[in-house]
Amino acid sequence: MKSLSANLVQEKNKQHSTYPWLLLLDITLPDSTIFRFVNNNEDIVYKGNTYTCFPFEIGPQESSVDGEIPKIELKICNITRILTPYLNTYNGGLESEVLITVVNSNLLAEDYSELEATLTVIDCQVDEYWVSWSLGLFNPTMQRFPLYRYLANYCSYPFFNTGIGECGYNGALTTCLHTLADCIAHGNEINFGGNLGLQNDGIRVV
Amino acid sequence: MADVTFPTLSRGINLDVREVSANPTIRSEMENGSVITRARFTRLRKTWNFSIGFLTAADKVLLDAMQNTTHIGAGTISWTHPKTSVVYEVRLLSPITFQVESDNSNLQSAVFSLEEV
Repeated sequence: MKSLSANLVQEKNKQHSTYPWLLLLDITLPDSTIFRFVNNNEDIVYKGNTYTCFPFEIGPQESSVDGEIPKIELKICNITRILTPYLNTYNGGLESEVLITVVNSNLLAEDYSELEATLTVIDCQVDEYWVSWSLGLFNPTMQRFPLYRYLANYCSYPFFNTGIGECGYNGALTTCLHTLADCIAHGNEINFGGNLGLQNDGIRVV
Repeated sequence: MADVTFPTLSRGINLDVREVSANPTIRSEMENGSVITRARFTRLRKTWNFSIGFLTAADKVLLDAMQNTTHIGAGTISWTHPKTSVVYEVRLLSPITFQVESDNSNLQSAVFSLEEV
């Protein structure tokens, strides 16, 4: 049972009202870039942040009897391609965090903590009109096993050339073979993510 | 900022402007007949519908140039309301329809709609 403030309950129960209930999105990408959108036809300011009016749609929650984790589809307008460079850089925006908040346009100072949901982007599809994200929660059955793999001459860090992540390389080269030799060629061997002390043959699960 | 300014035509367009606001109402009828209503958006955008007759060839060139510049509804137009002199940023809702006047083939009529951005 949600516990809303008296003002919100009163507004919710009105038979007619001129103040719309709006959906706010706080999209936090893996590099901590935040997009704030509202499904309105003008910008609004909420908690000191400006939410840009932007077309998006949130579908109903999808559940099944198969034990799958419920999902919600979020479609964001892609006509302006505003998200495309970020999707290209961050693997479709997977693992981005999306905070969905429902607010009333006339009661923006109220406490909406009961009307918030934080979800993670778990799937992405893009066409010329929409970026379609499936939002859900972390699924433990999809967790990698064994959790860590220690390879002798293979760096498991994702490669970026912008200085972010564990790789930390920030330079002009755009490709990486994930080997020590290539890491030396990049001048980044101090961050090499392989385990050179291991043998190169065979595997061992501990 | 608008891509182009609405051209000055040989004929005033203030005689035949129909203005309508977007309807943001969400309605849900209850079993007892009463209706619950809410607004969907906070801002009411307007649309103006025009039907201008007896335009000269020069007028048609100006209107054509305007819709070519904006690629019909992709770009925006700065338009001054003829009655209130309020300047609106608008876009074409659809391509302008030109028709030769039946009683004078040198003149044309134009029908188009502008929607507020």
